[in-house]
Amino acid sequence: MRYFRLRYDSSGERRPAAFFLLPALVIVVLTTLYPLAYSLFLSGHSWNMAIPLSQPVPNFPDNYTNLLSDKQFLSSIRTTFVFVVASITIELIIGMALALLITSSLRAIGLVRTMLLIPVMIAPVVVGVLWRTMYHSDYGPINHLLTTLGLPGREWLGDPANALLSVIIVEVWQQTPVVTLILAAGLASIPVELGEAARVDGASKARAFWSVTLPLLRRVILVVLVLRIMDLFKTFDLVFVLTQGGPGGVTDVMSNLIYRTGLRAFQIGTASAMSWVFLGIVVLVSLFFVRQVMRQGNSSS
Amino acid sequence: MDPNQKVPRRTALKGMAVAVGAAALLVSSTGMVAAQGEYEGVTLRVLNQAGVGYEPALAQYAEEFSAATGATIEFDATPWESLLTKAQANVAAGGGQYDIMIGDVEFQYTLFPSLLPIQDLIAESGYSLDGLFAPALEYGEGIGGQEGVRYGLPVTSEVAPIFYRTDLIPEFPTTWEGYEQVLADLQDGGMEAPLAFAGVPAQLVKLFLARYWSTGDPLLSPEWEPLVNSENGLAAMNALIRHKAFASPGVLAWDNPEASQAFLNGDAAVLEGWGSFVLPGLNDPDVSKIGDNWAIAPYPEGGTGNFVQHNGIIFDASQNAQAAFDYLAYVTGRESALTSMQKFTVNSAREELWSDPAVTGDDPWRPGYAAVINNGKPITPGLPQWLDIFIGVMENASAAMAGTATPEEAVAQMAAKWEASIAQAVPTYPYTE
Repeated sequence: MRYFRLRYDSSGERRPAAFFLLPALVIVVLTTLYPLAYSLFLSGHSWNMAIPLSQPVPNFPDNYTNLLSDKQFLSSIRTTFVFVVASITIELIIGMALALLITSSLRAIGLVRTMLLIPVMIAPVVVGVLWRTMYHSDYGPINHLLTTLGLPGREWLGDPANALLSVIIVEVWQQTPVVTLILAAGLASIPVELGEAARVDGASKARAFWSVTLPLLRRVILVVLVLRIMDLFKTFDLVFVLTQGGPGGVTDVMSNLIYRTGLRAFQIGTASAMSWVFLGIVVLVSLFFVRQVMRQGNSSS
Repeated sequence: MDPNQKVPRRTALKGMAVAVGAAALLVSSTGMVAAQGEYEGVTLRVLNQAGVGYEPALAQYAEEFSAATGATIEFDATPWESLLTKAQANVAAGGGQYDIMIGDVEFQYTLFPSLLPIQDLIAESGYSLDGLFAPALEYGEGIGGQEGVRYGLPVTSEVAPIFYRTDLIPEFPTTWEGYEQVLADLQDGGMEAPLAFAGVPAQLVKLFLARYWSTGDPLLSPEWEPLVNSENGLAAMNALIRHKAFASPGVLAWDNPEASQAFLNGDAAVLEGWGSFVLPGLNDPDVSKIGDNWAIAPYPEGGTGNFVQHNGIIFDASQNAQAAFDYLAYVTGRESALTSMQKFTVNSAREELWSDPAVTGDDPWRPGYAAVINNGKPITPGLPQWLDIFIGVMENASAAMAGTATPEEAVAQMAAKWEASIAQAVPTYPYTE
């Protein structure tokens, strides 16, 4: 009897636990699940909120099928992917190099570590304004420096061929320190003896890094990839300030297009459909990397 | 405040003077007798655009109105991008969050079912609509196809004119051909980029409209069908692309401040841009390198950019409609408008003031600018989907200028986007410009 009572005592604990969880659940439902559900509902409707007294009109699946042939939408997806892949690749390479630097025992490395954080501490909008000034084709300091060195200045933001690269440079400048810090933490957790042992066995520094350090950092790199890729997909403020998606739409990432469609043109149904397609893409990509992280965790344990 | 603390005599006298002066102004400008303390306990909530030139004027008049009537005025200064969203949220929630909204007249095309018509209040109060710019008068009435109905009192009016260097261009050409010739001559003479304009997508709209409207064609037919996908539309787009060759190669990244700076630095001989960005610098010898060698001209062949008109409107759910009207009438009345022009450099919607010696004494360019404003027209007046139209122009003009679309594709895509948007709700009244 006592055993029976002890075994089923948890039902008595469940009620108070549920009671304490309820406020948080209500907040999650109201602030996350309900808006998501309503957005999904709207994605199956045509609704232009700029039209007085207008109401959503069911039109599923038109909002979605129209996107398949919407050149602007498809171009925006392509631009977003190029932006994400290029940014994360450069951030990883530079971030790793900087992480190796700041985990070394060089003099004044503490100062370097502190200065590295400065870009991250500046709000993206401010970064955008600063770099707009620096990129100015006629009055900006970058072109001034180039011409002083005898090199030709470039049209950074005004030339469709350069605009996306210019935005990527700013993104990398601001966010690489985040990657650096995470990788540095990973490097710090690797026992020093492993690298020393490799070198004792005759491996060069580069070989030791490639064959010993990098495999041990794999899980940390995957975490960096997951976090940064999700962040990069969400990029809006930087592009909005630097280029407004121009010139000619070459920097029009998904967030900008959805914002313009939903909150400037007030085409709520179309914007909702875009958002769900975009969410699907981001979830698929993120899931892939999260699985890799889990696999790494399982294999190491 | 400590009730036992004595108020210095000077402060008390100053306060009384403000109150008396404000009350006098209130009576004289509105023709209404708003009794001292008539709106004691009333709070007016104003949704207004942040960062506009008249924002300080609104605050000052709010102080004076409060002193005269006892009303409290609270402002929610909001970026342009969020104005309509907030207004829509206010309406969706049944009103009550705001009494007044001050912003583009185009917002009325969407909000009018929730706005208070004020033509009767205007008539009863004796508020004078005389002396307003013709477009401000015309396009502020009849919204939603309702003849004779007016929702807003005009605060400011503006159109982007042409600023040009009088030492380099003695007489500004009146034809597009002449305009291109002048720019080409300047370029051949050594000026690398004689033309400056803001080339970011949103600012290309007025440039395209100036070239399109100079053909005489409206944007839409009376049945709301796009007319821009035509020979004239294509010609306007091609003209815009041609003129880009006279500007800095990086111009597609320039916004209004950069374009104004090029003109102020003397690097450009012509600026197509908003006066509010360049005029403060032109009047400042520490900023401008061109001294008095500038003047204002209209676009060639009757062209004009989109007319910008900010109105003060009242939500019909407001519990303080009369107080709201009295405040707006005070802000936009002749006396306050004159003060706004002189003290705050506001582009008043009252054309009569632009040739007032009290104004032109300091700003002799005002009458020329007024003539340009009087020729302006808003983009697709009366159409609630006007933002879609605006976005269609900006996206496709940018694509054509950047070379990511041909001019033919750009005008075709523009027209297609307009058609799809208008088809969602075709107004029952005919389109007129």
